[in-house]
Amino acid sequence: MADVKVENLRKIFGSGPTAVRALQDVSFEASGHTFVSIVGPSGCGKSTLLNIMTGIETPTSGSVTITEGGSPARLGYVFQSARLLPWRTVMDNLLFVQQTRDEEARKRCMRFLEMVHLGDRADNYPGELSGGMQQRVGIARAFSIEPDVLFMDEPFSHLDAITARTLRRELHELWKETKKTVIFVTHDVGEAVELSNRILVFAKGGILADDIEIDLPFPRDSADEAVALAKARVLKRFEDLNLIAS
Amino acid sequence: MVASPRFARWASLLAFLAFWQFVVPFFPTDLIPSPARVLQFMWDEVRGITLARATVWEAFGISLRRLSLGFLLAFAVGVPIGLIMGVSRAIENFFQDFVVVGLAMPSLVWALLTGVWFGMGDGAPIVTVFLAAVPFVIINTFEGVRDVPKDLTDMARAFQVSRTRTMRHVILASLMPFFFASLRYGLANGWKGLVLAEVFAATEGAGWTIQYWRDAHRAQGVFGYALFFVIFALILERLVFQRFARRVFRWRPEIGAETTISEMAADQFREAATDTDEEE
Repeated sequence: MADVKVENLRKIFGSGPTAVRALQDVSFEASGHTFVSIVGPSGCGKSTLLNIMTGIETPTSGSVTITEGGSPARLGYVFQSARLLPWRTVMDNLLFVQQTRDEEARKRCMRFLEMVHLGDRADNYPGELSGGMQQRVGIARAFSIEPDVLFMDEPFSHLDAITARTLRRELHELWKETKKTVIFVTHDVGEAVELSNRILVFAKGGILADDIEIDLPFPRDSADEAVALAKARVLKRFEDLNLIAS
Repeated sequence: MVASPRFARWASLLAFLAFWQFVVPFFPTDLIPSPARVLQFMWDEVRGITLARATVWEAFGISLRRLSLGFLLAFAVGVPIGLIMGVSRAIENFFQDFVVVGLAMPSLVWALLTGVWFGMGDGAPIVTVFLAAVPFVIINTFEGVRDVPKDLTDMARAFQVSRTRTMRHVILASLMPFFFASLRYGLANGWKGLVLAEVFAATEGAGWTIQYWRDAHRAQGVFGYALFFVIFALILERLVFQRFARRVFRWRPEIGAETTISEMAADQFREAATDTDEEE
């Protein structure tokens, strides 16, 4: 079981009077089979938090520890765009990030491609696939390394509503089946409510303003009354925090 | 009548041959040989029958060896310079003017200068190829480094892909089109320089031989060699560049049978050229 521990994280860009506080004393924990969404308006430090958690940036102070049974956890990523190597086939894109490239790895990649319904596209180049299919490959790639913790940075924001909806369902299935810890960044409250058991609401200035548990059965339909109510509740918190201009 | 591109091209060739045949009688003696005479000369050369010191095969063999050596040298020197120019602003500024001058310099200048420096032999042609090709290699490598997709290198790092794998599958792979443009333009410019250098400063090779036929007042030899140059360029383009490009750029859906590699390379070259202009 993976443990994610974020302690007193602070990030300041620049120094002196022009310094920008991107994150202010952010602390939270998550572990096991959980789906945590991080929501907030643009400029609230969501991406900075993700970059620090994934090691792309270093914090000004504070720490992030992500472990699996005491040792460092293996991390998977899904980005805003698919970020596939255009000169490699779909299968080779998955193999590119594997630690070994033996028959076993190939089979594992194929299994995840089939889970996102792209088993028959393994030999295609990314340029021959639609945007939604490419993002599916990105998701299959992240799951194929069998990570302990999966980070996703607004993975559906570039897709049309219908494709995004289908992919959200597939993602939920994958999460249910693989029992991973998912840290999911989004600006879409509806999406967060539909997918997560927990929503961390960030306010401008990089303040972790609220930690909301969503205790509803899956699968969740945005048309469902309970889901709509939960969404309204989170949006209300946004308003209370002055996150939405009235 | 259906005016297919193929038909138009053949028609143009036939019209040219007819015009050529037509004007021959208006010139005194052998100044303009008939197409038939030129073809006869070429056929003899191909079969190894020649008055010159070497057959066309030997002459082109020597030139090709010089071209390859000069270009390998240009690649070995130009790629590292292009790479470091791409990563350091200071180094870019240091080399930039030399590269721009190099791109603008007629190969004739290099051919003349190297002739003075190295005298007759292999030196002048090889160094001319090097000097004529190296700016193209540098500018294209430089552009390529600028163009390495950061989102992909970040992705590789996030997934903890090893440096060597990232170098090979992300960085070098993204540089391929630029290496290809270097190859195409570097070789084309190098070849022009080589022929000139062989005219001035060599005692064998394709450039020397066309000069030999001029000195011997054999117009069919000059015409024939000019056509050999054309055939050589076509073979290089069709058999080498296009095949290589289709293999390397299979993944690019826009590179179909209809797009020639020269068009693609030309696009890239234009981009490179405009970028350089903007920075001045």
